[in-house]
Amino acid sequence: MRPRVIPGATPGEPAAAYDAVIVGGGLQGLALAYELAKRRFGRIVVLEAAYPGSGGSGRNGEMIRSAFATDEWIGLFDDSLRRWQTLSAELDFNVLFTRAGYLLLASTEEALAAARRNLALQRRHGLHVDLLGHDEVRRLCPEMAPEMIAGGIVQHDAGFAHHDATVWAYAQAAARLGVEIHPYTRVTAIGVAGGAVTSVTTDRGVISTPVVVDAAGGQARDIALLAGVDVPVEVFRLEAMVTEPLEPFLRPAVSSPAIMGYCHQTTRGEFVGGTEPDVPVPSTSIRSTLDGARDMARKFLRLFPRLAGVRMMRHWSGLVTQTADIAPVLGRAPELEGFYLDCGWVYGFVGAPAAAALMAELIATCDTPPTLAPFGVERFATGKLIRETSLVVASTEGSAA
Amino acid sequence: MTGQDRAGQGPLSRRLGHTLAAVDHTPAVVGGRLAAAAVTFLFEGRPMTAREGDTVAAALIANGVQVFGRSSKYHRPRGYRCGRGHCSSCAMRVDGLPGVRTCVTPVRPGMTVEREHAWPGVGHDLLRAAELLSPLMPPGFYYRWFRHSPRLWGALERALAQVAGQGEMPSREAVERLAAARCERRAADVLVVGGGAAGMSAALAAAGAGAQVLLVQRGDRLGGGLADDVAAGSALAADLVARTAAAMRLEIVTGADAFAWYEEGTVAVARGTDLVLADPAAVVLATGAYDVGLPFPNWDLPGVMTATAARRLASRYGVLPGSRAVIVARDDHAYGVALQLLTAGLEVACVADYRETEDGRAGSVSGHPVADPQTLRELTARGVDLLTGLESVTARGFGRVRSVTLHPLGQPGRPPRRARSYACDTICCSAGVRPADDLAYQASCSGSVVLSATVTEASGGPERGAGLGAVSDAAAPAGPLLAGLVAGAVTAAEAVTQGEAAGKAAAERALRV
Repeated sequence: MRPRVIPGATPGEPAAAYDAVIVGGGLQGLALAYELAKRRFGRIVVLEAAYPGSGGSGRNGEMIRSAFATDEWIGLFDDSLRRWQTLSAELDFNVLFTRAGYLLLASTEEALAAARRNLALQRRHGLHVDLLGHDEVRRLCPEMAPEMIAGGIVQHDAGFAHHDATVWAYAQAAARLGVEIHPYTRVTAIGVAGGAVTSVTTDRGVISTPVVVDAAGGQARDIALLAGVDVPVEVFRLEAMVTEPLEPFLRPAVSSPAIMGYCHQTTRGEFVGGTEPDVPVPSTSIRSTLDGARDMARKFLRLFPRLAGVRMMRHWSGLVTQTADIAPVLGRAPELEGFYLDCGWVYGFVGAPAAAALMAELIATCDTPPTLAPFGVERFATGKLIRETSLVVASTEGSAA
Repeated sequence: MTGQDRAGQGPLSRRLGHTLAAVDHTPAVVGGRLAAAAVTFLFEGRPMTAREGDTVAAALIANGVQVFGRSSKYHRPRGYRCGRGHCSSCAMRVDGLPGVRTCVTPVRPGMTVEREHAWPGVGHDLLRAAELLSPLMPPGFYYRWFRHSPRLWGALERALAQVAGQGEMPSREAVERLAAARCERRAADVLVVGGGAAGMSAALAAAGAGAQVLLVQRGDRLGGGLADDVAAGSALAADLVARTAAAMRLEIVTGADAFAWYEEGTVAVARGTDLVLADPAAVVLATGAYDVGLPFPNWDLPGVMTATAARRLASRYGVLPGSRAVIVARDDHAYGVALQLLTAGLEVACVADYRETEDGRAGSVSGHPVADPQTLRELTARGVDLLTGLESVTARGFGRVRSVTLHPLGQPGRPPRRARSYACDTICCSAGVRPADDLAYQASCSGSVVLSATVTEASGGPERGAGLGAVSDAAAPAGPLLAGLVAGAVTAAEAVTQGEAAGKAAAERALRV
């Protein structure tokens, strides 16, 4: 069943040949298609198994920051943050980027000390960050439970945006530049000959192409395996929720490693957030769980006690593909000419604008931009993992907290 | 009553809303309102009297309150609408908690009730000035505007945030009280969601087959739509209610909203601020249906409500929704409701049916009678205008409905018919239903629940509920069993038959495990 009206979707059947096939019509795939089209790369098609943004792109927590703890992460994500500031103008569609600030909350003295160490690095990169003490955080978030506050880092020009608006914006901007977007089109095989990709087979026919990008989100590993490429990612379910709209009580986006949670209040008043269990369980299910609902309720009440009695309006699940170091996999697949990876995302919403531009540069020029280089899939073979420590992600590896 | 335009005669002189005195003259109203004990609650600081068993919404309407809240964006007044806890139009702050649906919340002595989301008050909300700017703000305007000026967007977004939201956060007292909120697990072989004809039949059948049954009902009492329908089934409903209440192995929980069916197999049921968790071996969904709204200018004015909601007010709570109503219809259900409201004491000026008749006369659509001749004769005899073939409807009024204009369809080869206006304070909409199948979808993301595309031909024409039902997939062993309106049942007899079948199947499934 192919619904008729989907923003940016191309009517009719896919053609027999394209210059680039992007597998996955989420934010990564659509943004990359847009950036490639801007570089006049040729005929580009995005193949989406469901509808654009149906996966993690429409299910994430929509939070945006670049105040991380390593050169690699700050490099990539600050490039992205700069693009977010003008993304609405660039795409000719208001993605509702709200520059409300982003607070990485420290609930213990130990966490505050780590934040203090990160601050110097972040300032060296020119980020607009400040270290806040207990009182300053209370002034910023008056409803937050005082016992949860030791201090925190606030990034002033960060915040959140609307994830569906961002998907529509990229889809329509890409379509205007001639990109074809085919929803409800499932990739079933990838043709390889002489160490290079040659074609993509879908349930609607065979497409020949010299370039295939795997931007398939939760299904990225399955897609790569179709080409014989093994991407070391594991799939986890994350759950999130939104409450009924309330009068404004929270201005900045807030991440709290202590509760392994992240949240913000939208302009309409809904409180949106997600938490992660202490021990993540690999899952490809997108059903919601009672455990998840409980985890969120318990933790968000710890953070904002007056949310007690407020209804969860919706609760949903999405998939992330997590690597050993939680950083995304960006670049070419070394063993297969023409096969590119744009997957393994956990912070994919904030990272998409920069990753797309840099990946487009790589595909168009065959040179890896320096910002992108540390994120290549080779790092898992060479052991040069990225030791980012400021993530709010549950990890089986224990590399992040 | 003639169909002349009375809007020019100035505002209705009659008091809007209905006092007990008004109900006094309506002996046909069921529910024993006058016999019930008085309960006092506080509405925005004022003591108000309700009858025991009233919902907050029914009590407020009986006390003449029509504006229940304000819309999120333009601060338009909103009133009682669906009467079944399906929409959020009647949400208020109750005992310090925001967003409480007053149409399914029983009044308790000393309860404090306040309207939300307006300044200085919901009765006179100055923020409604936002609507004056509405021509400048088409839906989705913010996706187009301000895209090139992040600074302006930032300023606007801050301003929008100040008037957004609905309720304030819960009060500190309410939060403290919630520390005592309970979460309990209830053991049951079979969970039945919905206490209408189908749900009660399913519960009785499952319990009769030896299963331990938990029946949860969102509203404050059993009976469903059937109990409100004097003509078709309130006697049948009363019989089912009595048998259900007396049945062995059958526990009934009212005021209980089954809102989630989690992957673990647990169904979560909210009961006020308490939570009931059930892990049944089989689930019957008899969740009924949502009334479909009719889109027309000012559809959201207080006084515009579903026909089901109006009937429920009259039949359960002995409260009339207003003093003079026009019923706008797109289904047959409307005619029976019209007669019932009329009998209850509400003046019904007109039943206006969108559907066109072949001969231009009321009473049949495409050769299929819209109601039994007796009903139509009685409506006509009691002065109700019957119109068919509507092009569009416009409601007028500021704080509540004052009049409605009905624009007839043009007919080829005939001179255009003139629009008719009626002064009225109530517009009841009856436009068919769609299944309340949310839980079914939660239970089976993979699509073992599909919408049936077949229209039931048995009754010879389009019927309430026909062709809209979700069907359960027998191949999905853990999936839900559906019965009643949610499964496309048209008549009470069908709902009972489906309920019994689903109840038996559920018991078999549960006792086999």
